[in-house]
Amino acid sequence: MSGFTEMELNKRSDRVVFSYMGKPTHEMIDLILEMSETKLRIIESNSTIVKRIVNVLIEILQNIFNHGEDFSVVDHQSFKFFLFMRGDDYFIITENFIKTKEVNNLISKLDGYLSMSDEDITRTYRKTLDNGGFSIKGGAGLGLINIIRKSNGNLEYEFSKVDKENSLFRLGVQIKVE
Amino acid sequence: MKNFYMEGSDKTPSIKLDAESGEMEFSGKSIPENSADLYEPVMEWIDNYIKSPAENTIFVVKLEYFNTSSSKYLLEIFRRFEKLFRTGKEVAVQWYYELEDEDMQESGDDFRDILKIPVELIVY
Repeated sequence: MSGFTEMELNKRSDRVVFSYMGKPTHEMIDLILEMSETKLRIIESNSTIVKRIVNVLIEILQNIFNHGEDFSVVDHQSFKFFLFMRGDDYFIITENFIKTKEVNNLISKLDGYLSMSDEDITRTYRKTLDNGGFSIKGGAGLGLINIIRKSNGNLEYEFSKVDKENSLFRLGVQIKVE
Repeated sequence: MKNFYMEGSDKTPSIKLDAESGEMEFSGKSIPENSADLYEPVMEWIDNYIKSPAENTIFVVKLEYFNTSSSKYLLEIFRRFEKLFRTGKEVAVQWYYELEDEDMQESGDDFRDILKIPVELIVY
């Protein structure tokens, strides 16, 4: 499951809606959400799709903030965000650092969820919502499941080790427009 | 018991909890980074309300967006009303979603599937 195949940004043919590279702050995350939604409302007439993308953006960006590495200790280019269009479909790509020791756990969760059918992912979402309790970081693992559910499992990821302690996590999510 | 009102913002919902009429409403967006700060006072109010509730409690949810940590709190809030429902009081959740917003409809279905109180899905 690991590795990017389809979702690399092609700067020549893809249409970038919004991109950001740098240090993420709460203010910047809010601005990315606001700007992305404003631009999407201009270019996309289907409001359901706009809301779905914004929903996925909220989960991805808040997930990075809750579970990503402390950005203050890594370089100022520690976060990358791209929202772009290819044909009618939308793609979101993010890059951020996480602790290397958390990589295996995340891979096993992602692969587990990605192997599920739509019905199973809905069942898992409801079960986790019902029984998951509150994690200290607030999300109880629901965020990932929700991203996979909203994107119908059209998700790719890859990790690359930066040093002993830190790894780079790249996530790509496709929102298909039927 | 005092009513609970909170103005909404770009990230937090407008909240109206009326102890006398039993009408409760969440509307707008619920995407705070820290849902506990927002929802703990609401849960405290509801815990007090449940001690002397109105005959009928209607909980209206008209949210445009909510994040997953908010959904955990929503469920915790509904769970409290479930307890009230089991004591014989009338309790209902009205879950509003915009026409064709199948994601918000699906979220209403999630709560309807999990909860043992009536959850009505209403298009607006």
